[in-house]
Amino acid sequence: MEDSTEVAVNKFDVLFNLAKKSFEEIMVEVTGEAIDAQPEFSIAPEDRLSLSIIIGLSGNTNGRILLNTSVEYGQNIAVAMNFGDPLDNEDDLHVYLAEFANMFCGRAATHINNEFGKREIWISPPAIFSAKDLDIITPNVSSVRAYYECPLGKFIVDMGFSENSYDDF
Amino acid sequence: MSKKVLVIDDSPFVFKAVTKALEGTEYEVVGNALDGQLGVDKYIETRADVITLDVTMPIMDGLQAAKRLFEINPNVKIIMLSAMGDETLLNQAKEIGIKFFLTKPFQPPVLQAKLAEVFS
Repeated sequence: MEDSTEVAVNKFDVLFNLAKKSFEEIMVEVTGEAIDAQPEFSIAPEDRLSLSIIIGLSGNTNGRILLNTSVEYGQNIAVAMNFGDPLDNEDDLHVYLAEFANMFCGRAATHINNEFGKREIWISPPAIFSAKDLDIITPNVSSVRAYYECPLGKFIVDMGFSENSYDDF
Repeated sequence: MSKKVLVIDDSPFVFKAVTKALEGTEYEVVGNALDGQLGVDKYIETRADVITLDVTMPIMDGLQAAKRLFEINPNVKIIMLSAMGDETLLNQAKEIGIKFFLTKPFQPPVLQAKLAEVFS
């Protein structure tokens, strides 16, 4: 018989896999190129990723999904979203990437809600952090990372989930 | 005569993408609104022929906005254009009266085909 910890771990595995699947689907639909998760890679200091888009998840399961990339790689995504044309102005980059993250997390929420047969999670509006050597730490959240490298660039998806414990208060 | 499209979505990207996707077609984007309440106001102002409507938006979400839009005009044509599309949400939207759905991201031919379906 599974104990509650084991059930939670299995549930988180399902959530992680559905989130990964969603990222891969959205990348294909936006860029037309299939991508697969790669083994963990190290990033040279000069390539330190400097764009992080965070989307919060709420509902029966709480959490957040972080998409880390660089400005250069982010621009590649934005151009693909703009149907291959350059952006009208530089300020559009954040608007496009926020929507990219929204589409990715919305797809993840769709898969997760369908998997659990109910409204398991809901997404909140994205926030973008742009900085050098940015670390985002979320204590008390079980998180894993998926690494992607493709002609468009390097992307790290950091997915963290926790059971909603508001009832404990 | 072109058909008027109203975009209701809290992401400015979607307004740009829909406008670009419909360039050179029989459709003209006549406005956009960044939340459901503004979207209802904009519909009253423009009387657009079709609305693309997001779900997760501040102030008034897409489902609430759709209810208001159907109160204003029971024959209003709405395409729910959202990143989310789970069964629970789709059923809620159908109960309100929304008949057309498109999941983001979209390519221009897909949006054009959906609009053709709306007016067929």
